[in-house]
Amino acid sequence: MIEIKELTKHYLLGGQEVRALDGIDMTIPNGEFLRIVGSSGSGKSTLLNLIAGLDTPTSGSISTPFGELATMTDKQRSRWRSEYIGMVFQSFNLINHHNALYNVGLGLLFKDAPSDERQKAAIAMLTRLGMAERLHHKPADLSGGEQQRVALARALVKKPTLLLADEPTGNLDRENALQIESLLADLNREGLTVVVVTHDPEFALSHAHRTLHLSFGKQSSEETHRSLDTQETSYDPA
Amino acid sequence: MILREFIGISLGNLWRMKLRTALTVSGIMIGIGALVSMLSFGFGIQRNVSDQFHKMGLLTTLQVRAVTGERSEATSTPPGHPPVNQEEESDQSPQRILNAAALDTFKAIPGVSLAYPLETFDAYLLFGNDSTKVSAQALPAVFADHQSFGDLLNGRFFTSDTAHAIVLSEEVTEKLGLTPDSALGQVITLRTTGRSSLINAFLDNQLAQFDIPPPARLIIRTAAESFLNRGEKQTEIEVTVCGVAELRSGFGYVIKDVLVPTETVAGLDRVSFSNPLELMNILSSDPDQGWKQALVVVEHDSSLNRVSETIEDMGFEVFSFAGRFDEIKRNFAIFDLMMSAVGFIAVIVSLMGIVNTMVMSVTERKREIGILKSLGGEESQIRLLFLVESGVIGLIGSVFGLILGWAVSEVGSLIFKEIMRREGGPVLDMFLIPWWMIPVALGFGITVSILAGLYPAARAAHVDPVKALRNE
Repeated sequence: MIEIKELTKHYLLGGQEVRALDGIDMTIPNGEFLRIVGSSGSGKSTLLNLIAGLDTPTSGSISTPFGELATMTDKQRSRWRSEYIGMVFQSFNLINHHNALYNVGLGLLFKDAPSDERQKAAIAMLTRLGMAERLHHKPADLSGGEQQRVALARALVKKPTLLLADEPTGNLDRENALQIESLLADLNREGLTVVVVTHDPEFALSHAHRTLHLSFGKQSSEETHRSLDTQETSYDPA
Repeated sequence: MILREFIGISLGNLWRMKLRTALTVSGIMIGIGALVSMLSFGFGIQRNVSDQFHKMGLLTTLQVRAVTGERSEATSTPPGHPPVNQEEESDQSPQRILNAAALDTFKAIPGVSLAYPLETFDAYLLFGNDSTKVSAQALPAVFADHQSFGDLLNGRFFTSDTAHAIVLSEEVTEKLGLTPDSALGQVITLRTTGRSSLINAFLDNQLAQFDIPPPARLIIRTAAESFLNRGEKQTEIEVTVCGVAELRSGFGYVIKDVLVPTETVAGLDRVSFSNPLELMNILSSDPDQGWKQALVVVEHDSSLNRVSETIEDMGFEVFSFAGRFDEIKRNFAIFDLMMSAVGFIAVIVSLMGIVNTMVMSVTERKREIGILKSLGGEESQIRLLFLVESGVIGLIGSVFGLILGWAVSEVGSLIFKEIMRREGGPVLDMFLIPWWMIPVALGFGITVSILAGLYPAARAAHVDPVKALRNE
């Protein structure tokens, strides 16, 4: 479970202070499928980056099973990401000059996994996500949906407990977006905690337990769609 | 394990940017190549000088002289006193005569392998109807076991100090109308310019200037001769050619034309002079006063100083080239530094190339850095990744640089050898790459490349992953 208290993130832009997040309080229980919805500039990506430990808060706390993120060193935050966090981005963020297999294998690079073990796990994960025929294709040779599945495989190959997805279908057509949505729903049903940031009010609405609305860095409203305790907890990415 | 992965990633990245990598690597290659070839030139010259010193025995030979001047006169042993190797009852160092007893004392010093007098004299070689003037040196038979006198073309060095044998130089062999093959075994007469004949010639010359009746002249001549000459000595011996050699002079053996055993020529009446003053000195000196100079050869150059001090303590003057050699080595160190400075400048220029390449690489790969950080890469690991990359550039550049340096040395060596051959001098290898230069050059190339990568690596480590990932 992740517990966020009085979280703020302020930064200077053109000499002016921008309050990206301004006093967020929330809890993310294990196994939840949480949607964070808001317009551009509402602070939803900043919140995701803070949870991932890619950014540090101005004030407030983010308590995780691994410890308090706000006070962690770079080394500890890096370990938090390599051990517990899987991240998916709108623009996929694959390394274009490497093939799908290599990109997915990178997910295990900082877990000190041997090269052959990384390759085996990457093949298994890509196969599971329906990409067995695309192992040696470079991102440029893949469709947007396929690229996002490779990115998802990279996030999942290290067996994270929390998946953070930042606009995962933002660059996809409707059909591919539905496939990704379905994949996320399946993973959540297996027990993986999923936090999705989206500006699409309809995305994964039928699968999410809860939706958090952000506006100008503040939590504007919260909707609970279904109860968490009816959830199966058999998540095993391997 | 992560280091091995990073090396693979670095090689992949460098391979992807082939042209840029090639240009950067060629920079460090030229730098290391220049450094290696310049240093190898310095080492080559140093090696040649050092070899010459060793070949000539300069580092293992001491030149010993009897002390002359006021001090020696004040403490000199009276004529007729038994040979000198006994301490005077004086606060000052006793004067020593450089005679056979003194040489025996030198030989008894631990570490001394050879001690012999420096004896050179002019002589005539009589062979057939021809007489050839030569410069001769008397040497002990064991000399050849310790010192190099040159390259034997045929035969061998004499094996006994009393052997009636002679080693001829190639030039003298030719002058005698012989070849290295035909000369062996030939019996030659060695005739010396004797003290008595010199004195007779001198007296005849002087007495001729005065109007003295012949009987009176005879009396004066006989009286002077008996006073100065003290007995007639042999001036001719027959010797057999035992070897023909390309004789090479060195410290302690000023060999010119022929070598003869010490004892064989000991009984010969022989003098050698180059000007009238020297002749007067010879004529007026006491022939039993010992040798002017002797050479002491030590087994190893490390014992040279100790032996030198011991002999000095005995009251002799000692000179060696070892101190000069240290001075030469210091000068060579400066020369090597100057040589390497050229290489250093080339390496520094190439480092600029590495910094430039790596900074460009960091700028271009910010998104990749952001991805690695999002996957759990620590700042230190990102820094390491880029340091490994610059180190790999350094390694590849250094390997090629070593090859380039070796190639330049080989070509330079061939050119120098050709020039020396044409000039007719000894053909020497002017370049030397010692084995240790390989790891040193590799280590230097890699180290300076890593140092050049420090700044770009720090920039990479501090890339903000949020911005890097948002850029896309």
